[in-house]
Amino acid sequence: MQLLAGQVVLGMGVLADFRRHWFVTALCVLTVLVFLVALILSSVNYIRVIDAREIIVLADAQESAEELTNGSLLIGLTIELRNPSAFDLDVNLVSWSVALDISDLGGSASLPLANQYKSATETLWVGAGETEIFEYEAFVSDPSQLSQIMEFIDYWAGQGEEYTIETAPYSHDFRLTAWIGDFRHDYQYSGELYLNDMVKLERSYSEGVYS
Amino acid sequence: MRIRLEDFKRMLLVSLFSIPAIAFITFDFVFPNISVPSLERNMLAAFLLSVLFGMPSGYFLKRTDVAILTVLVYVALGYVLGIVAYAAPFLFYDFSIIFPGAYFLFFLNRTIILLMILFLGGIIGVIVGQLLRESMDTEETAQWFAKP
Repeated sequence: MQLLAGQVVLGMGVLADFRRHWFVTALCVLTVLVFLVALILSSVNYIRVIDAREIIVLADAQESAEELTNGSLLIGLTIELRNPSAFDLDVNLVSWSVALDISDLGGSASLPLANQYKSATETLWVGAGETEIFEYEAFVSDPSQLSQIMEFIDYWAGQGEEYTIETAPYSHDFRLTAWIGDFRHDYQYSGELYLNDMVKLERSYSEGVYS
Repeated sequence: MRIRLEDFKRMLLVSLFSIPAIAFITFDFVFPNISVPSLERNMLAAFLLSVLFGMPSGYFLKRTDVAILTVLVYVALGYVLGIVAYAAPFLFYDFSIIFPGAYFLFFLNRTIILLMILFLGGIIGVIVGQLLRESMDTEETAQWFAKP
């Protein structure tokens, strides 16, 4: 009991000292509050960035191939970039390519049919909570390309697989690189590159697989 | 060195003044791009701030040995709080770490020099804080006995 009373008295002594030096104590408390708020805000930012990396996805890809009356092929891809995060996205690289795997015919493994590329010089912002739809279409009218497609169809017809120019298994490859928010991402030293990677988002859709 | 209960209480209370700052500086040192605001890994700024955070220990604790021990305590506790902030997405949310050992080792690797600077700055801050206390006490006494 005596010890408890002593503890209380000593505790009061500490507080009394703080009260006596109220100005310095107030400055210290203010500093604590400032840094505590900064720490909480920074942690929340970190959580939101990690969350954004999980929830920003490519979705709803729709591939299309249409034979036109003149015999050429109109091939396309529509894909959505969903950004439910709290950050705007600075999309700085988007590429799409489509090819046909002709490795079974001998020669080159893949027949490139079309591609499009958007570089970092053109800025595209996808706002927080928004969905951006990317639509691509390309005409394949080169006789050599069309003849290789027909050769592919004939080869597989011989193997028992029925393909047409519209149903051939075209391989679409869509890639996107974006920066999350406006966080700094121009670190140059190898030891700091993880900071760029943390706010960098890379998404792709290739042969029906999102990653 | 004998630490009484009063000293221990003072140590803990005074440590509270510096723990959040140490935690923020260590976190900011690992993630300067997402911290608000950020010191941008400026070692001089970190050192000067660490002197500032050492001052309460010197100011409120008359015993120098206890004050230096307090620096050790608040740097350690602040560092732990910094690690908690660093692991916040994985501690408080359902995100998973692929290599937990490497993840925390990375934090240690990034901040080990900073940790030493914070401790060194804290000790210097103790001296500055004690000088400030003595100066203010002297001034207070002078005013007390001054003629009206």
